[in-house]
Amino acid sequence: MSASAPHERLSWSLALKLARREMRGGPDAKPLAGFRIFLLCLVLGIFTISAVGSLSASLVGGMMAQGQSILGGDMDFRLVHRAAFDNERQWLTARAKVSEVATLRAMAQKPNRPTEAPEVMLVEAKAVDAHYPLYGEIELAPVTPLAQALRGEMLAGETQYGGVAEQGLFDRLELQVGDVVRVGEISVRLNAVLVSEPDRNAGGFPLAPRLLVSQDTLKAAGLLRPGALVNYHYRLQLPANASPQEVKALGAAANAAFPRAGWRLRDRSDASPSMRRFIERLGLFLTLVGLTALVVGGVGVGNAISAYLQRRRETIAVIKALGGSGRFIFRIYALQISALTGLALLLGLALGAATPLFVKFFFGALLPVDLAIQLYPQPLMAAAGFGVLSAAAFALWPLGKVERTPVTALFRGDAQNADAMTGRPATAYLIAIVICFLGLGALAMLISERRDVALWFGLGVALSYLALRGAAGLLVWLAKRAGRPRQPELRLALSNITRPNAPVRSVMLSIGLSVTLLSAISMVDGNINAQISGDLPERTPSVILLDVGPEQIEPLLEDARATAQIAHTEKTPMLRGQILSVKGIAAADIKLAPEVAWVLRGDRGLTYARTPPQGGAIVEGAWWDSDYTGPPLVSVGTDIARGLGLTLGDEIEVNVLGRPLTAVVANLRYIDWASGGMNFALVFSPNPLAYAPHTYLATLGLPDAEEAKLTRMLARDYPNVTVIRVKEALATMRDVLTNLGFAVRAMSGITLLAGILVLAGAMASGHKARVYDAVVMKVLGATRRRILLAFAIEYALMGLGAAGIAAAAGTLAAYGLITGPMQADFVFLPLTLGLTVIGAVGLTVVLGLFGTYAALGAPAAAVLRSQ
Amino acid sequence: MIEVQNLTVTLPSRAGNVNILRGLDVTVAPGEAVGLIGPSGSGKTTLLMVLAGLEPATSGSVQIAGHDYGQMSEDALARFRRTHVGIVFQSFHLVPTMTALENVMLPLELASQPEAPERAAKMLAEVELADRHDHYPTQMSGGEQQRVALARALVANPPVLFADEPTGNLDQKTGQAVMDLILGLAKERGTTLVLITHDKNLAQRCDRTLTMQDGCLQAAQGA
Repeated sequence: MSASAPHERLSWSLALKLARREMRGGPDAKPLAGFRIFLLCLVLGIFTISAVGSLSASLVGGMMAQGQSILGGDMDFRLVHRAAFDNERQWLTARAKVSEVATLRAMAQKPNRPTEAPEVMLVEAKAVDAHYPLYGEIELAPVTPLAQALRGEMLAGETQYGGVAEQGLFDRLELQVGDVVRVGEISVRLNAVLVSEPDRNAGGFPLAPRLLVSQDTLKAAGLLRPGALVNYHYRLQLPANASPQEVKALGAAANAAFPRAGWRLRDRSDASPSMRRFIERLGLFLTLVGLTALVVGGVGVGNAISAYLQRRRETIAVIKALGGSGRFIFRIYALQISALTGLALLLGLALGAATPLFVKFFFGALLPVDLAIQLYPQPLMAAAGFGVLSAAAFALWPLGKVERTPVTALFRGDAQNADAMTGRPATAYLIAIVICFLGLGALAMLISERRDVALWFGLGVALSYLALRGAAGLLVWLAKRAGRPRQPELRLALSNITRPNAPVRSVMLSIGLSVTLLSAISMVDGNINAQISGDLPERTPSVILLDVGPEQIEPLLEDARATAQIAHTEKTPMLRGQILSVKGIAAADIKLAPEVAWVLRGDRGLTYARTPPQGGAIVEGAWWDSDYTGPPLVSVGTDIARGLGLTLGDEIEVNVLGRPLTAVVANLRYIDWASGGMNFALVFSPNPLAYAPHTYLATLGLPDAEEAKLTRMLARDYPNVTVIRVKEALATMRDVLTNLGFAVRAMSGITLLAGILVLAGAMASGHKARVYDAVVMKVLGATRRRILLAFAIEYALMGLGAAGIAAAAGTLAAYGLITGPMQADFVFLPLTLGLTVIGAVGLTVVLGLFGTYAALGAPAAAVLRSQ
Repeated sequence: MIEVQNLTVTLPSRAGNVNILRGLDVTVAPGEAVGLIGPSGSGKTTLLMVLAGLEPATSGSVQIAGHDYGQMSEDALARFRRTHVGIVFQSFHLVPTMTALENVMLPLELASQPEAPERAAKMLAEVELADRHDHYPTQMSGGEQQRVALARALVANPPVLFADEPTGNLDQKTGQAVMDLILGLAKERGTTLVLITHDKNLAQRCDRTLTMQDGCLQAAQGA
C-alpha cells in the first residue's frame, strides 16, 4: 500500500461536512455558543458602516428625487450683483416658463420700540414672483394663499407691504402674525408664519430666518443698489416629459448663446451640490469612525476565534491524528468562520439597509429632505468589503497557528497548549493578513473623495494599533522584571499580568483604540470650542457690514464712531466674481485637488487695492504702484496659487457683473487667515474694478454692550446696510457644530461599545482561571476586599498603559487635524486629556471588576472538587 | 511491519533539553501484538506518538510497512495515517460534536473511501454498539466511548493499531471487556498491535512484552 493514496487531497466538500457537524454541536449545544462576541463585534461594525452609507445615500437620493422642488425648477440660472439682461431673459422665457427669485441678506427692524433690544435682526430675504413656487408647496400658518400673504395695502397714506417669515424672526423680535417690521425703506406686515418652503436648502446653510416678500416689495425697499450682494435666480419649468439630456442640452445652448453671462447653472439632477457634498463628507467621516469600531471589534473577533480553537483543540488533534492535514484543518475552521462572517454580514447589512426606513419613520420631520428609501448597493458592498476584510485580517492569525501546531502539542496539558498555540502562523498567512489590512486601507481610500484623509486615518489606526501592542508587551516585560513586591495584592496583580493567556493585549487594544478615537474627538471638539468661544484674535471684528454704498462708507464710519466706542474699523470694496479661466484653460476643464476645488466653485469675493492689505506678506513678485492705471494685475494668495498652479505672469480671467476681466498675476501673497483681519484671496489693481458698480465691506470692533446701540443707529440711518453680528454668526455655527458633534460622538460611542464588547469577551475567556485564583486565595484566608484590590490593581495598570498611549495618539491625531485641514492653531487641553485618561482607567477597572466580581462568589468546595 | 533503529527524541523545555527516548531499536512483525510497559515518564507515549507519525524523531529511523518516516513530510504522514494507522487513546478523544456513527465514519471520510456510513455501522455492530449510532460521546459511558474509539481506529482496516493505555480511564470490568475486544479484533484482522499499559497482566496477553525505563528498552519477553 502506498502512502500516496488515490485521493491525496481532502476535498472542500468533506471539510464543509465536518464544519457543519462542528457547528451543529453536541446534544447540549447552545446556538452560536462562544461566537456571540464575534458576531456582535462584526455586526456592530458592519451595521454602523452600512447604516451611515445607506442613510447618506438615501439623503442624497432624496435630494435627487426632489431635485425640482429643492432647486425650485428644472433649471436654475443664478447671477450675482445683476439681474438678467433683457436679451437673456427673452431667450429663457422663449424656451420655458420662468420664475424670478432674488435673495439677499437684509435687516428686519421692529419699529416703535427703540429702547428694547433686540429689535433688529438679520434675515435671509427672498423676493418671489407670481409663478413661485414652480414645484413643491409653500406651507403657511395660518393657511393662506401665498399671493394673498405677500400682497400689500394702503394704510394711513403709507403702503404697507405684505410678507411672511420663519418662526425664528417672530420669536426673536417678539412678533405676532399681523405685526409690522421695517425692511430697508419700507414697512412689511408679516401676514403668516412660513412653516416650510420647498427650495429652502438650495443655497446651503442659512445664517438667519427667511423673510419672503414679492419682487415689487424688494424693489420698493431700496435694497437693490448697484453692486449690492443680491443673487438673482431664473428658474425654468420644462415640460413634464423633458429628459435629463434635454435639460443638459438647454443648459449648453444657454451657455453657447451667452458665453459671457457669468451665470451659475444648476439643474434638477444636482439641486444642492453644497448640501450633497456636506452629506457625502460627513458620511465619509462617520464611515471612517465606523471602521475604527470594526478594527476594535476585530480584536474581539481574533480573541473569539482563538478561544474557540482552544476549546476545539481535542477535535483538531483527533482529525490530525486520523490523517487530516494542517491545511484540511484550516479549511474546516475557515469554513465555519466564513459562515459566521456571512451571518454577521447578513444581519449587519440588513440592519444597515433598514436604517433609513427607521430614521424616516422616527425622525423624518427633522430631516431637510424626504429620504429616498431603496436598497443602495454601493454602501452595502463597501460595508460588506470592510466586514469580510477585517474578519479575515483578524481570523487568519489564530487559524494559521492551528495549521502549524503539532498534534502532540494539542493533546498535551493546558499550560503546554498555551505555549503551543501562541506561536506564529506560516509566512503565507502573515502575507495574507498584511494583504487584508492593506485591502481595508485601499477600500477606505476607494470610497473617499479625500484620499489623503483616508490615508492619514488608516495610518493613524495602524500606528495606534502597533503602539498599543507594543505597550502591552512592554507592560508584561516590566511586570516580569518588577521583582516581588511586599504587598500580596500588587504581587498577585503583577503575576496575573504575566501569566500565560493573560488578556493584557486584548484589554489594551480594545480600550486603547476606542479611547484614542475618543480623545482625538474630544481634543478637536475642545479646540473648535476654544476657537469659537474665546481666544479670538484681538482684531476680530464685532460686526460685519455688507452692501455699504461707496457714498455711504465714510459717513457711516463717522456716525458709528459718534454713536458707539469703536475700537477699530476696516473697510474694503467688495464684488463677487467667478473665475472663468486660468492660464487660458476654462475653469470647467481644470481638475483640482478636492481641498482647493472650492476656488472654482461658484463666485468668490474680490476686491481691489492700491496698497497691500494687512495680515499677510508678499512672498513672490512685487505690489503695483499706488497710482498704477495700466492693464489689470492681480495678487493671489499662496495657497490658491499653489492649488491652481499659478506663477508670476500667468493670466487669470474672472467674470464680474457679466463682464470678463483678464488680469496678470503680479505677486503671490501669504495670507494669515487667523489674524482676524479682512482679507481676500484675489486682490486686483484698481483699474477697472474701481469704476464698476460695487459696495463696501466694513468691519467694526466695539464692546459687546455697545453693539445694540450701533445696530439701532444703522437700521435707522442706513437701512440698506446688512449687519452681521460676529457673535451671533458664531453661535449659529456653534449650533451646527454641536449637532455634528453629537453625530460624531454617537459614532465614537459605537466604537467604545465595540471596545467594551471586546473587553467583556477577553474577561469571559479568563473567567475560569480567575474563579480558581479567587477560590485558592479565599482558602488561604484572603478577604473579598483584598482579592478585589488585586484585580483592580491589575486592571488599573492595563488601563493606565492603554490610556497613556491613547492620549498621546489622540492628541497627535487632533494636532494633525487642527493644524492641517482646519488651518488653526492647536491648543493643548490638559483637562480634557486628563479626564479622558481617568475615564479610560476607570472604565477598564469597572468593567474588569464587573466581569470578575462573580468569581468572588464562587463556592470554594465545588470549584476545588472540579479541578 | 515496524522497524525502529537507534531512535532518539529530545524535547526542549524551559529547564533545557530533555532526552525522552535514547537510542531505541524495536522490530515488530506483521500481525504481532506487543505490550509496552514502564513507569510514568519512561517515554512510552512518546514512542507511540513517534510510531504514529505524530511526533518527529530527533534522530534514528522509523519504518512502518516499508515507509520511512524520515523521508515523509507532515502532510505525507497525515495521508499515511489515513490508510495505515489506527490509534486508541486513554482519554478516548472522540469528537464531541459528532455522533458515534459520525466519529467512526471520520477515518473513512478522510481516506475518501466509499460507503462510509454502511461500513461504520458494521464496525459499530462489531464493537456491540449497533443501537448507539446517533448518540453523542457525552451521552455514552466511558466503556462505550472507548468502544467507539476502537471502532474508529479499526474501521479503515489499518495494518497497524496503536493503543495508549486504552483501559486507563475505565473500571476493571469494563477495561477487561475493552481489552478483549481490542485483542480479539486485532487477531481476527491480522492487525499489528502496539499496546501501552501500566498493567503487566494486560501486557502479558500480547505476543510479546517490552519494558521501558528512562527512555530505553530494558528487556524483551515472549508471551
